[in-house]
Amino acid sequence: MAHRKKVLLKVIILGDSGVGKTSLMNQYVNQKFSNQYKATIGADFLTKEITIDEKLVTMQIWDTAGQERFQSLGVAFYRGADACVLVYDITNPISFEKLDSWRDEFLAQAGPRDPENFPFIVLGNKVDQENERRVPTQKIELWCKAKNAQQPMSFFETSAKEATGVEEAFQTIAKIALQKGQDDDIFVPAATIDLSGAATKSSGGCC
Amino acid sequence: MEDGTLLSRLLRSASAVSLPVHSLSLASSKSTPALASMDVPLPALPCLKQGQLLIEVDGVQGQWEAYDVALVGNDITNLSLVYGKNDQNLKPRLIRLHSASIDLMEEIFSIITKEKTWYLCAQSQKEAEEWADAICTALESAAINSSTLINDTQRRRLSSHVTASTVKEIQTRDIFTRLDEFLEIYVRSDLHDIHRQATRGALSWSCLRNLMWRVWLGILPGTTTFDQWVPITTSSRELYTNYQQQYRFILPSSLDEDDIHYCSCPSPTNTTALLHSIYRDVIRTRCSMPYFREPHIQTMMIRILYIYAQVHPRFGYHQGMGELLAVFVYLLYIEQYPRDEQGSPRDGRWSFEAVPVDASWDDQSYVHVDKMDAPKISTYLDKQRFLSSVPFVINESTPTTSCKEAVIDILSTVTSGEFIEHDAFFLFEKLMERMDGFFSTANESTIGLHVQLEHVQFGLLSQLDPEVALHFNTMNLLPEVYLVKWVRLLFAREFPMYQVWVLWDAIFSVSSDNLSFVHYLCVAMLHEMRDEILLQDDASGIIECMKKANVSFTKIVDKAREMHERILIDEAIAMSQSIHKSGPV
Repeated sequence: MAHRKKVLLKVIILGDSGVGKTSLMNQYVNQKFSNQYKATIGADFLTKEITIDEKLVTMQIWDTAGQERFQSLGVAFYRGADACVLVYDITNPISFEKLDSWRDEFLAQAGPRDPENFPFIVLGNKVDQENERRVPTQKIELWCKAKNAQQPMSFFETSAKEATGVEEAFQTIAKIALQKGQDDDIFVPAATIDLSGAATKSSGGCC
Repeated sequence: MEDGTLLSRLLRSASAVSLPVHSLSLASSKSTPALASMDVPLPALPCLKQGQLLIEVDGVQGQWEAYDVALVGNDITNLSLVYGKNDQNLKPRLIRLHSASIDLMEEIFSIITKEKTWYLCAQSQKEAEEWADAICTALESAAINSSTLINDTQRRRLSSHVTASTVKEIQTRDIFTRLDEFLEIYVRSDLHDIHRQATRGALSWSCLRNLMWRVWLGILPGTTTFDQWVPITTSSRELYTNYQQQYRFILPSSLDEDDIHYCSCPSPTNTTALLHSIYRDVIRTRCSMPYFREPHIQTMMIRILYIYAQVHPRFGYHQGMGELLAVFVYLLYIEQYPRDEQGSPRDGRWSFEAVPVDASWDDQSYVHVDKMDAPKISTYLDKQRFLSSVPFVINESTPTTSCKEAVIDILSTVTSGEFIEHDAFFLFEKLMERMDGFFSTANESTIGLHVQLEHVQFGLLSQLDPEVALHFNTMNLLPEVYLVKWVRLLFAREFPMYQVWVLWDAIFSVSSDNLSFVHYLCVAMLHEMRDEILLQDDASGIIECMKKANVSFTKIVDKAREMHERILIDEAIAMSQSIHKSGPV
């Protein structure tokens, strides 16, 4: 453990098409919002360097296509993920109901060692459209408790458009993932960022 | 200049464009006071438009400065934007507009020249449009002026000089120009030559590219005689009309109706979910183009994709399909046959025989433009012979009036703007036939996509640019990460629409069966960015620089063609060597 130079956190954003995954990522990493995002084809990622508890952490945030699921993208996208951000749209109840299947599918595909305690966070996006809200805050609260009674999942209501809650949400997921990572002792010794997840795996990590 | 020559018709069509052509009539006015005070050494150049604009300083993003700007010039060699400040110490600077293209994004417009891209910002969107229009009009007129010198006995061939202004101009082409082009491409040329020219961007000048695409995609195969073009087209339109009746739908107005069981891989039987998925993507498709923000266009796109998914349940709907469809829809829209004629070709007011074959067009383009002497051939091509012949047989005979009328009949039916939806459906359907492995999530086909992606990075790239391939391997960059979008959308996201047309010309003409030329375009794209890619020391850096890369579409087509030929030659050599070895001793 002599050269723990850089900590890499691989974070995957999942959720239905059009809930604002790309917008959230761009707001967090680039502080930008556009009304003209296009449907994500395949996947995309951005990285952001942050400091948590005096540690330099590189967050590699993966934005996925809402319609895609995993099958056509290959293992590269989800293997070695350290955390997962589930997104729904507060004006679209179906996107909320789909959270279960996104979570289940992620766990099935990524196969983390300790699925019960895998770091998830839930974001209810588009709070700037409060008057069109169709998913009451209470509902998501209950959902988070139902998933894990001892340690409910954290949730945030966000607006990628107005930057509401975005920074806090990603900070939180980074902290949770880092904590979990320390518990599990996952560190990536290489200075380069490994997109296959192979290095994370081979360095004695989570799998 | 004789009235009725192609040139005069081009001039007419140029002036018919709804652009501020009057600005050109200022040609004799003097330099403006503001510029005069800047002591601009441009004594002879007329000023076409002037005003204040913000310009991005030295290309630094977000760093704008206000300048006095003037559009000056009178021919293609000197047409420029001059910008400066009311300050004696600062010399005004010049943006040469020769072969520039203009892109408009709300109040910002960019001028893309071979050397660099300039970003300019006007007070309002309207003002930016006025600037863009003025520049496009000036470029167009300058191009026409520069071609006045060309000998009348030469025949126009296609040119690849495409700009946003060309797209506007294409819309206004009259029936004679269309007739000329049809005869040139489908009657006087051979298919091999058209293929060769198309991969060099030559269809950029075309206003009938959609016909060539129908030929390549097998809707109007090259083996079909001309008399079949109208029947084939009308019967497929009838088929689509039946689909429309069979698969009627009502787009639900809200998203939370109780009966929706939303699923992210909508099956054609789950129509509400399917419609929502399509709807969500269509409203995000090409939304920087006003055309695609029109509700009736969006509804049309939804209908086509919905019907397609119903008719082809195995393919269904996948994200990205709309992006491909949009390319067809816009092409058919731009190239539609003019709706209201000043005179119908039949009423005798327009005598075809008075139309000589004709002048030439801009020869400044990056690819060659053939100028051919029009041979004096005394034979005639009559209607019967024309209709019973197949395209691309190099028939140089002079078409008779009735033959020309037959061509007009074909054009007015096949390229009619009334059936954009029908025709786009079939172009899209034919494209999808060739993209089986690109979209389907069935297991084998998914493997198909992965095989393609690996073929690009580990096969072609290793062979054609080993250094970049090795760098990707070292950085552990997998092809799925960056290639899915390029391959699936055939680069539709990476370039403006009219440039995508040129890329698709090359893809269809070289690989109409399986679109495999797109793999070479991917490698060419990487090759064009290689210097920046090799500087990056991690995979995310590489992805970043791919996003920022400003690659010229003409360069990647040229490079891909070169690479494709190289591979073909290598294969031929390898094959002949193996024949040698295994041959009789």
